[in-house]
Amino acid sequence: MTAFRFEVGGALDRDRPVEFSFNGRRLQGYTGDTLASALLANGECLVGRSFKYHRPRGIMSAGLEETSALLTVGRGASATPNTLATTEELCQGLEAYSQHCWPSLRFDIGVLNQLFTPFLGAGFYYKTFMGPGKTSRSWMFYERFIRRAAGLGRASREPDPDRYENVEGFCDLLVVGAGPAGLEAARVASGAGLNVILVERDFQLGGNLLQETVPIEDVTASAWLASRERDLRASPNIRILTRTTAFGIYDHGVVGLVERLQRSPGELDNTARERLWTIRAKRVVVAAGAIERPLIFGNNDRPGVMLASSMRSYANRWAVAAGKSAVIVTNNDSAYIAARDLAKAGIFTILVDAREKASGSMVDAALAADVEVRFGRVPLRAKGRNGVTGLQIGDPNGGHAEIIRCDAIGMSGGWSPTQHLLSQRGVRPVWSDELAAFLPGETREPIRCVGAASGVWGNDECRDSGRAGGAEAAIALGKTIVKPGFPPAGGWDNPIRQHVLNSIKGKAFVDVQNDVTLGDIILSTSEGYDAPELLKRYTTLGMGTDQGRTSAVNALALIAKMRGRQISEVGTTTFRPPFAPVSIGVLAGSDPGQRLYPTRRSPVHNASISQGANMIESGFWLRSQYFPQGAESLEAGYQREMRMVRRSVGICDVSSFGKISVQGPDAGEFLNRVYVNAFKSLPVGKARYGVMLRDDGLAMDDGTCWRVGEFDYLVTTTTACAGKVLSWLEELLETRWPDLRASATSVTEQWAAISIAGPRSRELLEPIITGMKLDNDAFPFMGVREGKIDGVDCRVARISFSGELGYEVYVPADFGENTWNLLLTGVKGLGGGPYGTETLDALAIEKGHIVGGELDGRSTLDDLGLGRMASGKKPFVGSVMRRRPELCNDNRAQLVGLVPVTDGETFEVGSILCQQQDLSGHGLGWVTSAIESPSLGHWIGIGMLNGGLSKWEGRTLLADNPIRGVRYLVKVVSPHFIDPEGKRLHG
Amino acid sequence: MAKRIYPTEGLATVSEVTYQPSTTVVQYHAWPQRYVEMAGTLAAQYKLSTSPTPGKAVCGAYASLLRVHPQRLWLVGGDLAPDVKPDLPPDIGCVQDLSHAWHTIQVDSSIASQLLNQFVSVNLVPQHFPVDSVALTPLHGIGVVLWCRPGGISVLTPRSFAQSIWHALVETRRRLPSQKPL
Amino acid sequence: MRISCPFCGERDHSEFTYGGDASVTFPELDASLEEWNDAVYIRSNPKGVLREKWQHSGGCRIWLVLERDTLTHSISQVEPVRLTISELVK
Repeated sequence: MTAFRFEVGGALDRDRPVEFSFNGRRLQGYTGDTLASALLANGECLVGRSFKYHRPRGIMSAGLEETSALLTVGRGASATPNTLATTEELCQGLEAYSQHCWPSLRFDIGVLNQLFTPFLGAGFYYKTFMGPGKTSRSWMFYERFIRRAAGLGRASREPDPDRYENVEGFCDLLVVGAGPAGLEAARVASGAGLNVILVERDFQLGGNLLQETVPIEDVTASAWLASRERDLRASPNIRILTRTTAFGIYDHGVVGLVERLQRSPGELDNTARERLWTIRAKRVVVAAGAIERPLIFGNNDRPGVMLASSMRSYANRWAVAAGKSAVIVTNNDSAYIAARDLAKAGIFTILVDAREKASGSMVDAALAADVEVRFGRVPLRAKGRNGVTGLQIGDPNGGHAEIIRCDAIGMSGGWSPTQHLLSQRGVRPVWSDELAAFLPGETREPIRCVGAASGVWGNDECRDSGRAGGAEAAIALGKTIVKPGFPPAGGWDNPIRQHVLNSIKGKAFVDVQNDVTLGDIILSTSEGYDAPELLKRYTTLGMGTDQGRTSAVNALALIAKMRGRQISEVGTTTFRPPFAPVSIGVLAGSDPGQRLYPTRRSPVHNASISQGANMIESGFWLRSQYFPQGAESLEAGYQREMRMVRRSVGICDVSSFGKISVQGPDAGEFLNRVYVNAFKSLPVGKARYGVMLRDDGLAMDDGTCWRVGEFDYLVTTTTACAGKVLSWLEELLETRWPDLRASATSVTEQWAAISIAGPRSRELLEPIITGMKLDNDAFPFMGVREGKIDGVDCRVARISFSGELGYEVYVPADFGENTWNLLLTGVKGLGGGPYGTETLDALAIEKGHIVGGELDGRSTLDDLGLGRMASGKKPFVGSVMRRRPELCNDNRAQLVGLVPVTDGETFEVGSILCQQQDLSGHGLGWVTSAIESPSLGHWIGIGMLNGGLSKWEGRTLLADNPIRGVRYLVKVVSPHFIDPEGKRLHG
Repeated sequence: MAKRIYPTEGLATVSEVTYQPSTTVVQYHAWPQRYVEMAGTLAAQYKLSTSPTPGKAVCGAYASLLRVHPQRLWLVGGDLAPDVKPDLPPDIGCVQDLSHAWHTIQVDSSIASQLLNQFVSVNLVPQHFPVDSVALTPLHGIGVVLWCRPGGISVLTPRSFAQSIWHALVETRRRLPSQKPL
Repeated sequence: MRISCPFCGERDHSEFTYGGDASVTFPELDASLEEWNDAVYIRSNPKGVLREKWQHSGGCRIWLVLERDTLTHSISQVEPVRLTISELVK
């Protein structure tokens, strides 16, 4: 094959040459070239090696259906493997490399794979490489080599250096494809007043018009196109997106598009590489054209074997000759157009038609251009290795065989409408025997295929089809315009003849990209894998990056023939998004990494940071974990903070805890139904610890609830469950008890909340608070009072989970930082300081409170030792279901305290509790929390243990961590490690 | 008396993304049968011609009412006069002060829909989201209230997320000049 | 998927949280164990139209009930669960 560029012609800008490189060699092309057209223009016909057999491969097509010209573009972190040379716009400085060949493209050692062909047939991994010997490990040995020998490009392991963008888009009509049908659909629809988005994968509008040589409406195709483009771009209600691929249609008209933005490697700077559009379209018109099918004959994968229409594109659009003399093999009329144009361009062309005869205007045009036509002949085998040197043809039985010398072969085996987007909606295509094509099926979805995508072949009819599609969309959306009819599918003078293969010699490829041969299909079908879904998975046909665009229909035809069935009976595989490969980066969006999720900051955040807090993520929240002094570790830190709190006083930011305002005359009644204990009768100015259950009787969340007014309650929740509890309360109010006059509103953000704990808490608050008395009688445990701090309204609840005297101080959030700073000054003066969440939890563990690890959705009130909280006087959510026998079983996992038997031993959360002589299964329980207690001088833990205290108190068990391989003896004790009578709390 | 500290204080700014200290956000919630009555009372109380229908705001001289829920109105505006204490009789509904919970970031109309439609899946072009429109929708995963004012689109964001949203908007605004046109 | 909130209009389904089968009636809090067990656990699994509860959690936060076809995902009959506010959503 000797490809070259014509002196003149083509839709190129010859005044703007472009330099690029291929495998390190500097080459030149023009603006308007694709990488493929530029390679061919430079005579580069061998561009890669195949997936399995490492056969030499060239450029097979001029579009997305490309099977062979997969190159890696770019280097290092920017390397993009498996880039189709046929769709890659040529730009200054582009670097392209062949893939999957070593040491070089021309001399690839992988070609030896072909010697193993008998072992690498369809489904070989189920059948071969099983020995020697009966060892089952042989496959694992061979697999390493096989895996390395197969494959296409390699991805860079470095982080993606590019930026991406996301846009949300909206329109009345989305038109996919800007060929003749798409352009007309967009024009008619926007003219009728619809908001239209027109999407085109290519960098130029026009589709098939870009290689059309016949005039349209009395002007040249390019003039017609230019005029249409001008009109559309001037219209205010059309957005035109080129270099944009519609990759998926989802429910209710949501469509995903990827727009390629970057043009040259040099343009990197701050520009994004790709942009993801999520479009919500009321209607969609698919004008994506049709894909030509190859024919199946021996060595039909050689460089120089192309689709006939692609050969025509290279000649007309890019002024590139695929060879000096070409043979076109076909079974339908369309190839005559290609033959005509090649001959007119000066390429010696012979056309071989599988049919006995054909006539009409297309045939006449080819003959008039001096194309030699042979009827009744089929291709048998291509000659040549790194490039085509000839083609052996014969009659369907292999007789009258002769070899024609040529350096390019164009194939046309029929056309497949590109209706993938419609099929993604589950609309099964319908086989037409007459056209030998799958046509779009009927649907109620607001999606219409037009033009060649609906099986319309003629140029004029395609435009008619587009106009009808645009009008239909406008009428469906309420516009009043005339609706033209849809032209019927078809448009050839002579019927297509589905190709017959009787005597093929040599490897005949059905799926070129995945190296699936005719022999593989025959083998697979004879082994019983003859349904399309099975055949696909068994042979890997259609599983390449080209998704079987040029192989699927041929394979179905083969199955049908071998099984004596109709193609319509055989069926198809399922189309799923994406239509074409989509980079992960563009889906990750514009803010990957740290910014992928939003961050939630407490009102006290900045003050905590300036105090040196070590922050920890808790959902979206950043919370202070501890306040390290010097270089102290977390363990040293929380112990110091615990000692500080128990000895003096500490302050902790608890603003992230959920706070829900429940208001209304029926608020008390509502909370009585939601909590296990009573809240309707809770006096104003009092708080109470409560637990909520789920419908199934298991514990959902715990927290305190304050009555701040006659019709006003404040419900607090754990940080993690805040959203869940709010939705739950809203659900109950709206769906179960809509007559209750109560409302639930989140006020988590309204209040900054600071927890004060320690014996000197009163001394801290007294000097700065006004409007309330703090002595024990005026403000007892669990009381709620209102007053002012530094002139700001505040609410204080005497609540403590640490077991020490404690208060929770609430101020409106914008005053949070000031209040914190005020308390900080005071607390330091008392020998105390700030403490973080680690200490907050550790103090609670010492006291025996559950801290969240125990509220995992598996535990009941009784399991947690809180059974006495449940009211016997009123029903509540879960009150009936919690009485199910299984949930009252004495042997359930229940809350216990644990201490190490040996002094100085440490603890591991997640350890499995089991008897020393029985280290098996899931054991008897597990450790949920563990800390070193400065008060007690040793580690303590809390866990869930089958049978609980009543069965195990005082006894010794083993806490086993099989992952780290450590185990230690523990004694089961009450979880209330300090001040079990609560003297400090109530003082 | 302590000063209110706003969540975006001290952060880098751009001219079209500004923090609006609207110091009052008060939620009025009515029991279903009493909503119409509440809406009428509030419109009169705050001297507004009418109360807002779903997805709309009605703006007055010093305060506006936003319809954020079938049963809820938000009063949004500057400091209320000292004698004005939002309240409702319990048989009509209940009132919740949210003035510290929601903070407003304003995006200038010159770039509002271009910037915000990179985050929000509600169509914000002026024809679809004219002045006085209100929409509750997620932005960067966070539920916010969008309100079209004459000068641009106000984004009412929960206080704890304000800094995060501020960064997202400001950085995206900075990239706009080098962004290929939409 | 797009869902039409009766108050806010058509929005992406990601703004909503699925809330369970709407055909289930939860009994009184002190009803029998059998009634509660059925309400919590027994569900039918139709091929076709299903009545479901969703909450517009990313928007106005109302609870709504809709009909969704489990085969085609087509959604119809969206209304607020609390019918007393049907007039208030317009």
